Amino acid sequence: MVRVPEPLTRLYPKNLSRQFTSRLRSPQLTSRIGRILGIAVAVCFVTGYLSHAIQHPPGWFYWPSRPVDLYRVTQGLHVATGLAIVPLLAVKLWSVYPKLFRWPPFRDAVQAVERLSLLLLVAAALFQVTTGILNIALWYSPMSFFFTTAHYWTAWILIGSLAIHLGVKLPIIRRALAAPHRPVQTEGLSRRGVFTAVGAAIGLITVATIGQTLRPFAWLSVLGPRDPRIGPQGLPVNQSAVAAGVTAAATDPAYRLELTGPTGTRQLSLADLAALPQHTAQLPITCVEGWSATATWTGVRIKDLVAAVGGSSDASVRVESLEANSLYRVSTVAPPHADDPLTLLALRVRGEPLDLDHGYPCRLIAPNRPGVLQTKWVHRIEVIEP
Amino acid sequence: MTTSRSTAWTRRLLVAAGVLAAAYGVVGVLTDRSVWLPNYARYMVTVLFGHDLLVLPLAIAVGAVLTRWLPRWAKPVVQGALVVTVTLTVVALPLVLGYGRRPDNPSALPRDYPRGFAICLAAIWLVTAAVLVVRGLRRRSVPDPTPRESA
Repeated sequence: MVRVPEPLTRLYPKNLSRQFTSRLRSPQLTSRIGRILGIAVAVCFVTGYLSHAIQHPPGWFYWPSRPVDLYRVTQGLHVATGLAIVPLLAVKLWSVYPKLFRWPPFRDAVQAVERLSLLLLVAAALFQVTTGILNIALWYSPMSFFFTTAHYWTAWILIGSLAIHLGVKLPIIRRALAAPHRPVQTEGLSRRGVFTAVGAAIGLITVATIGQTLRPFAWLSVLGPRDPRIGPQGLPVNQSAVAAGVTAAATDPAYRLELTGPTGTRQLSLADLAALPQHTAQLPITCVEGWSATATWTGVRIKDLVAAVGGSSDASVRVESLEANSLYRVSTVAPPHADDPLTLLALRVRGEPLDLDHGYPCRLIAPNRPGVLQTKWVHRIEVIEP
Repeated sequence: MTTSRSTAWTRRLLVAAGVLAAAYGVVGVLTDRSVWLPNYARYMVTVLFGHDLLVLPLAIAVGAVLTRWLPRWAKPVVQGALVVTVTLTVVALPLVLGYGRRPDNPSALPRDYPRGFAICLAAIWLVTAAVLVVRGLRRRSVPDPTPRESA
């Protein structure tokens, strides 16, 4: 009979989970970290769903045009909270790691199903955090799927499996949170020390990135994926004219804007547009990736264009770009935004004609809307009556 | 009695709502063609196993080795600094690698990220060093009140 030497027997499945010796791991730590993590996931889910609903509005959904900066706040919060999840999730998963090696893996069918739901929960959480980080770093090649829809559906898997997890663990969580605080006998970090470290990590990550949307922090945010001060005309750009393939069409002197409404169709040259009453608005360009930058835009009010072709104040407006193949070639401006006096077909930014990368000859800019819907290189506007 | 009954109902409600939401997401992933299922599944499996069987055990092992020979008063501080370092690295790495840069758009990833990452690391470890100095000095002036058991 062969005897396995002692160090190797530690790797037996039934002995494996005993190799983790930190006394810091406890339901108290897991529940306290989990409570914060749960709130962060909920914030991401709500702000993320909001952003999705603004872009693909369900029938019941209503999104106002004011306050001007609301979407900027919700989307900035979505990305900042998502980044804050990194240290929370890391410590949460560390605190329950030995349970992964529990032996036998399950005792009955119910426990087997519960453990499978945990697999789903952990996978979905890791998926959401890593794809979110890759997306704001514009590094798409590791994600050989469409980020937007995958991130959306996985959010439902995450929030669902989190609810299942809370339901299953509720008695343990309640007991752990109600238990009197007893210091942990440990050589290393105390429980309070863990929270200090997680807090420091969240603070540092936030300060290092939040300047991409909070301009006063721009100088401090050395890891901001964007700088609201950098770009053509001091304003960041998500898609350049070259990438969109519109350079020739946008600079063609024969450019005409086609404006269609109940009373007919008009062709407007850039000079015609400049001859119409011009208005100025201070509005942010707010990207779904969490950066934003405010600028002073000047152009023709969309509501004036609507009225010029006989549209009413209840009309929606379909705005089309010169771009040939893009998911965001067309955007529909809902009545609250179309009728808002701040919504412009902008010809100028910061007193200069728009840079080609900002949508020359003209672009849509409306309050409280994601940047992907602020159509650039506009060549057709259609007024749709309800 | 009533608390336990309401707890039981809360649990059932959470599980039922969770099953519905998760099922909605799973059906979405399976039916939405733009998700591109094989690649999605491959990515899912990679992050799950990559974290559970590679990144986390590696972090635990490296952390254990790096703090093994530290004195008791220094160990928790260095452990905390390592937690901050690792989690910051997760956020910073894609920016430092810079694969998202595009020649046609200088406003995308406009900063010097290796420098920014180095500044953050310097900040973490300068603060850590300062805390260690304060702890070390305090320890010298006031002897540790808790008697240590002989090992």
